[in-house]
Amino acid sequence: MLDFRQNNRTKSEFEELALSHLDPLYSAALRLTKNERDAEDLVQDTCMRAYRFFDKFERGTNIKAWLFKILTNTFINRYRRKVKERSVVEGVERESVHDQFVSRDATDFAANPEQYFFDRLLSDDVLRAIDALPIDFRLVVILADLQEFSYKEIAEILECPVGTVMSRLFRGRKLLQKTLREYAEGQGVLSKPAEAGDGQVSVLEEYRRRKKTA
Amino acid sequence: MDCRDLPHVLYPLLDGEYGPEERVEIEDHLASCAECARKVNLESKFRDIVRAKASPRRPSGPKASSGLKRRLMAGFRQERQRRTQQRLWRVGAVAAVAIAAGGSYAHWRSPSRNSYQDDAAAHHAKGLPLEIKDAEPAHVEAWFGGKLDHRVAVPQLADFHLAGARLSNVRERQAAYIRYDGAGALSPSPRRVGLFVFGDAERSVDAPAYPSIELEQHRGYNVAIWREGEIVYQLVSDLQEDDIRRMVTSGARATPRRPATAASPPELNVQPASLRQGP
Repeated sequence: MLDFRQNNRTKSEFEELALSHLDPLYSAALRLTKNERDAEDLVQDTCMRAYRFFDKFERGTNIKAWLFKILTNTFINRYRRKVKERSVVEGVERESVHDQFVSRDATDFAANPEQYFFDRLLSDDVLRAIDALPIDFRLVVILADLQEFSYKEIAEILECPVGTVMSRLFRGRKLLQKTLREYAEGQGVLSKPAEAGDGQVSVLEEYRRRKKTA
Repeated sequence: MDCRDLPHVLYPLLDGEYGPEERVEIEDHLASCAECARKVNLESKFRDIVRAKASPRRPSGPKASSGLKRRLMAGFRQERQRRTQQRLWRVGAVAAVAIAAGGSYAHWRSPSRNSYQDDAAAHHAKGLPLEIKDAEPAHVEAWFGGKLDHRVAVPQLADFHLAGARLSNVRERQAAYIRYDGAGALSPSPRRVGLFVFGDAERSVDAPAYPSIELEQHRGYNVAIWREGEIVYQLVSDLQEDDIRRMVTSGARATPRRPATAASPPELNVQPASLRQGP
């Protein structure tokens, strides 16, 4: 009737696993919440939930991805409400920045050799630019570039199709480049480039679709 | 592929998402198109820079604080106890039914309660220094104010005088430890009685309600346990069993110094074995 040993072994195993992923969880939480206190709360909530639901974790599958799924869900459910309230004000501005950006040729950035500026980028600049990304893009950039998850893992964490991961990552990185270029211009590291002509941004899946039909 | 495909394949290529077949096709194009190769190179560099500057694994990357780790371990511990207690409750219910059905008294000892008593005996045996030395119960009560999440009432024990108190713990619970020294305090090794007081709002510690007490021997001490509402008391001493029973249960209840609360302790009245006349 009582089998404490099985349960205790599972639980101590979880504690070890969770603690070994604590730094990545915390650093991702910090990029999501943008302050240390909320980040700690988010990690604590995440770990307690994971602890309670550890029986549901399938052995042999990716524990880090599982923990990050709980982290992002917890963040979206509980913390994003606050973020949403804030972005009601900033939303319009963000949207227009985004539109302006995507209306340009995605590769025109690369056409300008000056843009080797990013050699001089500081950690603080990069982090600040990531923090400035709208949440959907920020999530994907954090998971791909900072936590180095594969597209498939990110799709599982965010419960969305791989195609969505690809297009968000594309836009997120481009927006990141644009923001960093603006910082560099502001700091005088980079002179303002000549306005490039409008180009076309196509959907990422299109390439694969075309490949299939070819 | 041709140059128009580059924006779509760029990131999956850099992120290692393509299999060998797709890679070969793209690399064929890059080998013959300097412009695309340059763009891939630049994007690759940007990707590396972002990772190097913002990776959580960089030396200056954010680390979970020791405070967070402590809170987590405490949270896990609490969760574990909650579950164990839920199970014990279920076992307890079954045991109660068994006793009722059998119509006989069964002295059922839960591992949880035994450990509380054993731990209290272990702490008492260590004789850790008192944090407050004061013979006046009101002073000791005032000293505990705010240190624990429950009120600590300090009872007086006949023939023993209050020596002082310290914060302690019984297993994972923060407890008040109140020490009394025996009448023979002038002798080289006075008899000592330790009283542990801790909160148990969930009533998950198995302790009989006063005036019943449960007595067990641990580490050469007799340990009595009982509860008054949400407060659990453990009296650790080398007194004989019947003395303790008398001390705890037969004493008239004192007029409380302040309005009675659920936490007010029984008036204790004891005759140490050494002072008692033979039967």
